[in-house]
Amino acid sequence: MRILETTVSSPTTIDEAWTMWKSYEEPITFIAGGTFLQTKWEKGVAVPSKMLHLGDVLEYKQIYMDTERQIHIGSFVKLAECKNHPLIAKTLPQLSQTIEKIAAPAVRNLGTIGGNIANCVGDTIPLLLALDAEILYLNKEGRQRIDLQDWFEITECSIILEVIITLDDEEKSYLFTKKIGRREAFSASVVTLAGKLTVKGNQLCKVRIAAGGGETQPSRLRNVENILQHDQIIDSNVLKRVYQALMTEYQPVEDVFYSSNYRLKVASNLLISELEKWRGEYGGLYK
Amino acid sequence: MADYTSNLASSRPRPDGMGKVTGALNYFTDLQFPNMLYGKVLRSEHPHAKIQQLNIEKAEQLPGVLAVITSKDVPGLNGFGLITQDQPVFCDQVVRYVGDAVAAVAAITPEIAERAIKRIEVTYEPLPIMDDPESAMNPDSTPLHSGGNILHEASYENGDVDEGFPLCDVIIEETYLLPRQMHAYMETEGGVFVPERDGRLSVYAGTQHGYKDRLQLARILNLSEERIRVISSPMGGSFGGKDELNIQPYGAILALKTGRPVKIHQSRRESMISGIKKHPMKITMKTGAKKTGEIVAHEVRIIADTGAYATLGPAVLDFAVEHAIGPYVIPNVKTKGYAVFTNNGVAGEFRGFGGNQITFALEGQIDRLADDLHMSPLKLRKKNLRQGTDPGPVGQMIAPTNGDSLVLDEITQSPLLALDKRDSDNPWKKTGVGVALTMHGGGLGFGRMDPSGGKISLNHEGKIEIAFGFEEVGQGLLAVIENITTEAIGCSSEDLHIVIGDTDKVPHSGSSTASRGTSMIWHSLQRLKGPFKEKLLDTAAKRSGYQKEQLCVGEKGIWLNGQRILTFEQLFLENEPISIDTKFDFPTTPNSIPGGHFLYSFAAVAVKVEVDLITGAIKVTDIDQAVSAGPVVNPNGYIGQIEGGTIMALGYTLLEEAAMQQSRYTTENFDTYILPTIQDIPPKMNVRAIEDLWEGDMYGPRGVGEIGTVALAPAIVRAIYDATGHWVTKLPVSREEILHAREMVF
Repeated sequence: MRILETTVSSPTTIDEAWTMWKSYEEPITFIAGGTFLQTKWEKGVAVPSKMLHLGDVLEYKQIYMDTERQIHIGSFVKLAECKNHPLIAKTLPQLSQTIEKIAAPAVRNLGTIGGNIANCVGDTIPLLLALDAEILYLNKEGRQRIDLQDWFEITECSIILEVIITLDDEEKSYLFTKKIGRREAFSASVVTLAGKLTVKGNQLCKVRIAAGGGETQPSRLRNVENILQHDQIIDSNVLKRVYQALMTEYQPVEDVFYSSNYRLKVASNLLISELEKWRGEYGGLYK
Repeated sequence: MADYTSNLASSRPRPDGMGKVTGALNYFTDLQFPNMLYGKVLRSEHPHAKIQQLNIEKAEQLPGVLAVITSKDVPGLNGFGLITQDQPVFCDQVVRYVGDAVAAVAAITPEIAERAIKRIEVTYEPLPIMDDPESAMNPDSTPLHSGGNILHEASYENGDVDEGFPLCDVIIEETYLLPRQMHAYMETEGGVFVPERDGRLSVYAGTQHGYKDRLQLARILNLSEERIRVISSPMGGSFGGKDELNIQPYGAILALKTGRPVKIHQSRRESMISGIKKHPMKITMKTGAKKTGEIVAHEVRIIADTGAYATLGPAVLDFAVEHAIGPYVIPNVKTKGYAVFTNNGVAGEFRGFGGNQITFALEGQIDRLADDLHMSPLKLRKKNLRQGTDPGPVGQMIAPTNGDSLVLDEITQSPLLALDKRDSDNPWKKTGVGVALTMHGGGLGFGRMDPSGGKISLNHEGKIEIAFGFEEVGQGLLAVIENITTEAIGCSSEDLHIVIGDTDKVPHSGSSTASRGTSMIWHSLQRLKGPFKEKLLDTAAKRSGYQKEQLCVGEKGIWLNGQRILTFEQLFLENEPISIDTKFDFPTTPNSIPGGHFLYSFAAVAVKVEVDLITGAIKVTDIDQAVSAGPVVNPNGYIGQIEGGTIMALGYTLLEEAAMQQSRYTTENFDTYILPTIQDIPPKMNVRAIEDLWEGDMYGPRGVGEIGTVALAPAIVRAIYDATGHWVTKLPVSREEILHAREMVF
């Protein structure tokens, strides 16, 4: 017999959630699947006295593509649903693969895509950054749309409603995502790296590299991106500079199990190995 | 390429299999009783401290709290321990590790118990922490116990190493560091304690030895043993971790004090902090050989971090000292070991019992020697192997065996060892193979009381009741009893009623430990079957009028010439009970060597690993094994023990460490203490059982509970060397170390 000592409000529409939220004077904890918060409570973080539960909200639980080839993933879509959704499997198989590496099936059945982003260290974030994903969110003023990277800069509280990914037109692109955990499955991330290299004509026209892992908040590695985009031809000299840029730009948080130095090495090895693979597949496209 | 597949056929499902895999089975920690209270133990905040003040008033005042107990409430001996009772039930002056108990409460809900615990006020004066056994050994160090910090010393000497080393062409000296592994049983320590109307106490709590728990509880509770009933099987895993008492004293005292049933079930975090672990060891070995490969001298120093209390620390050290030369003949040996008290938790019994640590070091030495001698590791092993009638590793007389030679020959057939390792076209992956050999003693060993026994009878339902004091800890005991009994008696499994795990009903069989269960059940039946069948047939002859010699015991009754003439039910008569029991001791060496063994099992392991040069991670892709442990009793159980033990060893080698800083765990739960999952294990493992025993061997099947855990680690480390040229000396293998060793240069 467990006695819950927390007041939980469960709105069924997003407007109701918004109204409730505005009525609170003090900050409130939002909860959807609760899987991330559970890990915090298990570590001894106090369970808040009040929570606003968003899991019963009926909206923002679907995945669809609009007329502009933009994929909209509702914030409250469960990770497992997102992974298995035919549209995701067809257009963004890398997202399915990334989700498959998150925790275990039971957790993926509860945890939401919105929650994975909102916790700021979720495993989907590097890939979403590499995809230039946008976020539709709700603040006390109303609905807003913003780049995911910029959303992390916002200090005010907000509710994520959708993550929006614009699919490429006819470009050739190489998209990769790698999570290194402490074991093969059901592990927190030590290093997560994702990237997208887009070729148009004979030009490497867009490069996105993002890294996270553990308590490290994922972010784009803009200096690395710039070197690759500027130099175009990826030879060993460029790789050396990429390596150096990564060493200064990626600042992984260490813990008692893995040093930041180790994480840096892994991230650079991952990046180099992916660039080698890319060169193998697309290198012939331009000279 | 040689064929190497498992030679064990699949057997019928174990009797308790379905309930366990479907989750239908109720464990003791699932039990509910009317008016049941929930107990919780307050454990120390400090690894080493004086208790200045302890105030339980605020906890007692909390509504819903029925009892708050401290050392003052222990009716008898305030101490427990399988051999030495040096661990306080409740500390009253000093705490020596973070799991030491200070007080306990019983309340009407777990939440109230939890809140009450937080209201107990303890003032501590922190004392200097002994977190390093070598510093703790220093005579100037603060003693954690009155006898000083060296709990136990053990040694073995033969020949003269000082004369041996100068004769050697190659000498390897290396120090090996072994981690603190957690048993990680699925069911954490727990149970329900029920005061009965007749004044007795029923204890429903998993253990490896119900009678020993009863004895220990009787001392603590100041009750006669007969007033305590321990119901102890089944349970959700133990691996050596629940042979010692854990929560039983607290549940028992709370139940007696409140007069109500009390349940205690530790959270994983509580289990992690308070539970015993495998001994971390630092082992230094110096081993020398001649150019020809003949090993001449071997010097060993073992420092075992035994933590705050004795439990089985001395016996584990003795075992490590005994197995320091393994199955090899080395004329000059000097082994010295120390088990040292520290504030680092409590180390004690763990599947492998010191064998894992010492074998890792020993096989590491053999591999390094082979490398320096440019000799194949298999050949070097073969060259130095003992012969069938040679004495055991500490010069003691043992049951003649060539199991070591048999498993070595068998593993030579593994195609893994013939692998061309240039087969990988991925520049970020390197593959390698390795092999290792081990021997492992069964039973408690010389000088340790090791009685066993069993009882067989015909009950009123016409069932053949077979009773043992062994426990079902997940190892597959019931299937072993079923197979051995049906084969010995000739009846079917439906005719059997197996009784275990209840001190009111079972005979003394000793602990379910030291790979002794299967062996002792077989020995019991060898003794029971003749007299029991004799009695059945006597009764049947009397009842039927047929000549006894014409009758035989078969399925569901007594048979004459292919026809059943009496059912077992018809044989039962209230006033003529048919019942036989037996008592005997585990066979031991006649030589006076503390813990010296007489019966050994053997294993050889071949592995293939893939080293990921991006992350430094090691993936074991294939495991082949050969095991020599006498006849196979239950093929599924045998495979389960060997494969399960191997995966436990895989975790030990690559992932698991109950890490501590300043004598506090940095891994407090399964999110940081990393166990292998199904994705970390090779998709296929092959186990080949060698059932042959030395001619005239009368000791039957040996247990296989531990042998599968021993040889994997050194085989993996050798395979890593094969792949990378880097020798690992510390477990679990550090990915960071691998990357460092193979630093990529652009």
